[in-house]
Amino acid sequence: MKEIACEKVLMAKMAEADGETVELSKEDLNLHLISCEKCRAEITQLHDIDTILQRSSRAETSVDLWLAVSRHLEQPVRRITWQPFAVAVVLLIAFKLFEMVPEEDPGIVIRAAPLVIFGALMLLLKENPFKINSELVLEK
Amino acid sequence: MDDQAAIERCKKGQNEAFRYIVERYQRQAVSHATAILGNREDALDAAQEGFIDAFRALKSFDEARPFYPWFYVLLRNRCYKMAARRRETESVDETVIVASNSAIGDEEMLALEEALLSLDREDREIVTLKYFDGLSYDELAERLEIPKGTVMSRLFHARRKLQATLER
Repeated sequence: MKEIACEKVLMAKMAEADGETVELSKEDLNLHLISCEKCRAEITQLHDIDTILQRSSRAETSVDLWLAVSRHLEQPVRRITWQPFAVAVVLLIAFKLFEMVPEEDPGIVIRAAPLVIFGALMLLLKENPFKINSELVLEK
Repeated sequence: MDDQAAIERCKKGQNEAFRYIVERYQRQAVSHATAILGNREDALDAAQEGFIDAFRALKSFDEARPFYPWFYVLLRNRCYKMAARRRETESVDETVIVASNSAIGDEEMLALEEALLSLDREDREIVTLKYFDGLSYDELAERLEIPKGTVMSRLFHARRKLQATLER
């Protein structure tokens, strides 16, 4: 319980030092600090870090990105439209309806139609359905 | 030319006008990306891709607003995407985040750089934006798209971690 209160006080003191307004009153904060040696020690250390960071600045070096960026500006952006998907859906529905006719034996070529349609769609979209997406990460 | 004029010209198809934007913000973009990614090579790639993303999204940009905060959202998206695929710099022999200046000694600068690199990317990002760019809590909340309370607690915990690392 005391640990949570200490953290709140420290957080508020640091925010106050950053020039922000905090919910806890100055009196409450000071009262806590007077009675809590651990917080007094930690706030001093945190102020030290604050001082070091305030004296520091961001490293910046000269770069020239224009040439690399400009090469990409001319290239058209490939947009995925809805039409190929619509055609694939219509073909798959037609296949399913055909499959429902009881007396017809479609044969191996017709049976493979959904795979062919899927393959054609991927080819058209220039997508590899077996590619592992390395950008997917688990949420923390 | 200013940002608004350059963006208007880009929207009219004059790609060359985007050069003004790239040249104006590239240093800032690379250093912000370096603070997130922890190394300059990836930061250069992320900044380059960020500018390309920005150019392609210019149609949705409201010219009444400042360019850089809008661009920063695209840049950090690029950085975090890239971060998921790449590893961080493991050793520090030169500083890429902290600049050398007369107010801070070389030893202190290297120690701070190492401590910053030991933080999570999100903690490092908020600390550098707060101290190096001087953003307020409200500005940090807007820039990072998080509530102000989260800014306060993230900054506090980041400073605590920095302090623990520097003490070692």
